[in-house]
Amino acid sequence: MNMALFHPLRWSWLTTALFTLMIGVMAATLALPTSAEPPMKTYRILMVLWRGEEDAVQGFRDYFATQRIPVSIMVRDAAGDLAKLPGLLKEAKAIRPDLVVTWGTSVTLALLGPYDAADPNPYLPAAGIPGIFMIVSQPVESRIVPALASSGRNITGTAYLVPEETQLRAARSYFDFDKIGIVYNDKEDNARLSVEALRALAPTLGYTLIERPLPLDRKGNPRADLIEPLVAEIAAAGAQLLYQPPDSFLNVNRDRLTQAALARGLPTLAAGENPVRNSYALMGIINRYYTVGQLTAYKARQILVEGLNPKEIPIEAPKRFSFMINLPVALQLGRYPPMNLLKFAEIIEGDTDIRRP
Amino acid sequence: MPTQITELMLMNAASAVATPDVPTADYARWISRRIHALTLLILLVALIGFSLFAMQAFEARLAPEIGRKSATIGRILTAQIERAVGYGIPFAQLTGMDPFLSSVFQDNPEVAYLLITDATGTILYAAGPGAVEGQAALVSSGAVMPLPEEATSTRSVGAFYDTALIMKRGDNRIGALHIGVRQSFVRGQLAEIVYDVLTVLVVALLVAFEMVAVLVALRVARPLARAERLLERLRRGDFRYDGNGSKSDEVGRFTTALATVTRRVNERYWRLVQEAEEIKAGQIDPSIVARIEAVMSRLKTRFHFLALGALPINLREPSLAAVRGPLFLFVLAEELSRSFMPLYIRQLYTANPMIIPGLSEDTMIGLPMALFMLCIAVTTPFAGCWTDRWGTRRLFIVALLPGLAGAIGTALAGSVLDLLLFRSLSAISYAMATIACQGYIAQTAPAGGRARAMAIFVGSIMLAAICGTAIGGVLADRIGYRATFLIAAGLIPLAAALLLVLLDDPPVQWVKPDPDKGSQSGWRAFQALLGNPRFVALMLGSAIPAKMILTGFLFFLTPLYLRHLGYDTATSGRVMMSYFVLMILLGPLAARWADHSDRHRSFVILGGLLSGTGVLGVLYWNDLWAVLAGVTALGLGQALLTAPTLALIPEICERECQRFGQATVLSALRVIERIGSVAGPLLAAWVLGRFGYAGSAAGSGVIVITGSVLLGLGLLALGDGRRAVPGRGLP
Repeated sequence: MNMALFHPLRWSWLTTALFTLMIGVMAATLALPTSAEPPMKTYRILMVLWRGEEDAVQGFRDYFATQRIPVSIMVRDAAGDLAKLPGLLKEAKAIRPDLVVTWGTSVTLALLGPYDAADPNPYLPAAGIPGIFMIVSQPVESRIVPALASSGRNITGTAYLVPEETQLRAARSYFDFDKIGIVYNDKEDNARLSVEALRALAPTLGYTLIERPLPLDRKGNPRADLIEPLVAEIAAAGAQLLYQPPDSFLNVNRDRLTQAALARGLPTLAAGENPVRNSYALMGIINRYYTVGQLTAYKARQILVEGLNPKEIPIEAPKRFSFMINLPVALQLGRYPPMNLLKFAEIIEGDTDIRRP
Repeated sequence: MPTQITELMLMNAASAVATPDVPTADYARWISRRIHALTLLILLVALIGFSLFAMQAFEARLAPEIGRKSATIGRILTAQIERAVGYGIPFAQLTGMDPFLSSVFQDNPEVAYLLITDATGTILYAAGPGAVEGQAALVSSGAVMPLPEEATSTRSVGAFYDTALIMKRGDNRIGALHIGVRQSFVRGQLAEIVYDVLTVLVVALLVAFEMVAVLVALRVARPLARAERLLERLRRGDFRYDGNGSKSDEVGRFTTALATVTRRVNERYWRLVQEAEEIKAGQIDPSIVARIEAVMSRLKTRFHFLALGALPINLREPSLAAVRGPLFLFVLAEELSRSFMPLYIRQLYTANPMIIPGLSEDTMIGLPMALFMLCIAVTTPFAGCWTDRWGTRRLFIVALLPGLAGAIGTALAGSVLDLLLFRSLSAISYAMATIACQGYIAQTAPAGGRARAMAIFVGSIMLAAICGTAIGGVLADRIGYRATFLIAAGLIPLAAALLLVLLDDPPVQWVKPDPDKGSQSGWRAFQALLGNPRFVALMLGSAIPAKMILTGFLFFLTPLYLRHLGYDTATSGRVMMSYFVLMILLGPLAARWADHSDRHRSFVILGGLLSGTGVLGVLYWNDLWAVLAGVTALGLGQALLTAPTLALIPEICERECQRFGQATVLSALRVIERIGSVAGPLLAAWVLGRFGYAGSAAGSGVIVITGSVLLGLGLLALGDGRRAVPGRGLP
């Protein structure tokens, strides 16, 4: 090794060069983050709702707020009117948002179209606007997507119903049953599908199913006045549990159904949140709308921020469901929730007097 | 490695048989004994004092600590119960209480019961393994009624520490939750800690002891001995020697002063010679010249002086102690893993299974251990040659490399395959280091003190085995297997450094004890010995089975067995340690006793029967105590048979000993018995896979018992070997 090279006096130019380089690098590192980072883009999201803002929309908004992702959310509401949907489709095309979020089956079908539409051109995916749907009970059966794994086109979405098997298995952690009664509106797809699922599960889970479809009146509408007699029949047949399927008609008549059951000491397991939260169903194993909204927002983020292709994002439900228990009903039935269930269940407390049938 | 140890004990015993210890009144030894005794006393007092203090401190803190822990568990429960009751669920009709309360016992094994009473003291809910007993204790002691005033209170109830937490609905006290922790459980935990502390203290004591011994030997005994030898030479009128004592201590200064005296005497002598020559030259009278010459020649024959201008011969006193410290550390490094080696191998195997057709998991665990033994067996003869060629210092330093690589590699091993390589390196290093030290001792020890020197050597290794096994188990429990291996890796360079500081190779030329021992004669000795039925019976009946049970039962099976029974490595370390303790305490005693009674055969057979029978206990009591009994019996048995086996060799192999030399015959024995060391873990593993832990342990016992019985019958049938030698009568 040539020691002369390392003589202190010969270092001067080398040291200077190194020093300059070091300071340069340090300055550059300090300067870079401020100058190189582009201002974050504000994403434009259009939400088209069916019956106004509720928890799912709130969950969606909150997700972006907590994640500090700048979004501008425009909201349009169909207010339950199918006639308004073509106008909303037109408006969406005019706005050309970065992403459209649709709420419910009707809005989704109107804006995003079925996957096997003869002419896909009128719908948003064909116009190059990606879409995400939420609160759609049966995305496959409604022909929005061919399979939950992938939509095969420029959309994705979230599921929100908890599978019947999960519901029943969870319900058994409350109390055991081997006879389930069900009253339903045969005219509704969701209800029919749910009954089919319960029938299929009966041998595996070991119960018998007492089915009572609601008879129709002359106009072809289900008869609400027969709800109480049918529940009475079910109770008399020895059912230990009444199942309220995801059925719009029964959701409207939830008080009649659940009160009739409660009056006969029959606990109700509801597929939806409403009968437990705002009526007399004992329990519901559900995905909370708020959680669904957050999951939808997460998928929106994957599309907008991470640049994923929507067809690569599977349609999923939240991983953890909520076990809701209507406490006043539980007390009235004398069905006290087991301690371990109480640990994680969502307890709906309320004024017992108002709820007393 | 204790195979090594026992072998050294054999040598020790053999030389003890050959050369009776010459008692010497030795001031240095007297001093070091006093210092040892004093150190021991001080350390013991400190030890006992600390243990008592620690126990009391633990006891005093115990109850509140248990209370706090119980209260923490309890508050989670009471909060949920209060919430449920707050919802309007009647306190007496809470549902699902059994699974709710039972979840506590899984995560908190110390909790014996959970009892819930209402405000009247009626027990509503009860759960836990101690629920019935706890309920009885609470009711009989009146602890359930009235409700305690404080929100949380802990007291001793029966065999439990009971912590009561008050539950409320609003402002009303609705009842109490009682959490019981068995006091014996707490004491057990406490004992565990105290055992660990004691282990650390005892080991610290032994290490300190060893270090004191080395220090005393080097700083006190060696200078004193040197001064004594110098004085002895001066007394005999020999003025040619000089001892280079250090200037910093009295003995050193004394030696230096003696050296000055020696130098002056030599100077005076030469001046006298000169003057005598001058006087002689000036004399005319031949009678005076003759007288001067006579005086001078008498002076020359009576005293010894240096040649003119020659430097005094430095009187060196190579000390055995110099090799003790390094050897201790080196062996300690290896023994640290004694208590958990098979567990570590199993962990590696489970993490990264290496499936070899025909080899079960147990066999794969036994394999690295068997290979370790094999590598030691193969390396030992080479290590002997290397010591002759390179000297102790160099060989020990060379051993550092494979030793360090082996220990670090073992710590970082990812699979059993890695372990096979690294354990082989460790074995090679181990054999090199121990044989290097053994060689040093053989060179250094005075002819008559060889047995004592070997005893020191064996003692050092045994002490390291005790310390390593015990503290290694504690360490593995606290910091994990891999970290313990790294500590072992750290000890190895420390040993080498200590050796470099303390040891300079003795100037004396190493004379082989058996100069005509060549591989040729070794091989012929082998053939001759295998033709000697008594020797073969001794090998097959005692030597090989004894090694088999040692490596198979103690080294391989005991750690696995105790883990299977639910004990930690600290416990297995302490159990295994008892073997070494017995060996070190009883080995020399048994050797002396056997010599005294001249019943070497009986001792060998008795030792075998004892070590085999002790192990059988596990068949009836499948617990810690049975394993401990087995290990203890093994220690006793091996202590009984080790030295007598060696003493038996000259008896039953008299002709071979005469032809080839006793050393050659003994090394043949060592080679043959190592078959047992290698086979032990493999055989134990094979039986373990078929008959379980107790079966495998008992199997090794049965082999040893069978061997001993056959040996006894064989020796009876063959008669006394001594009769076979012509021209020699019975003693």
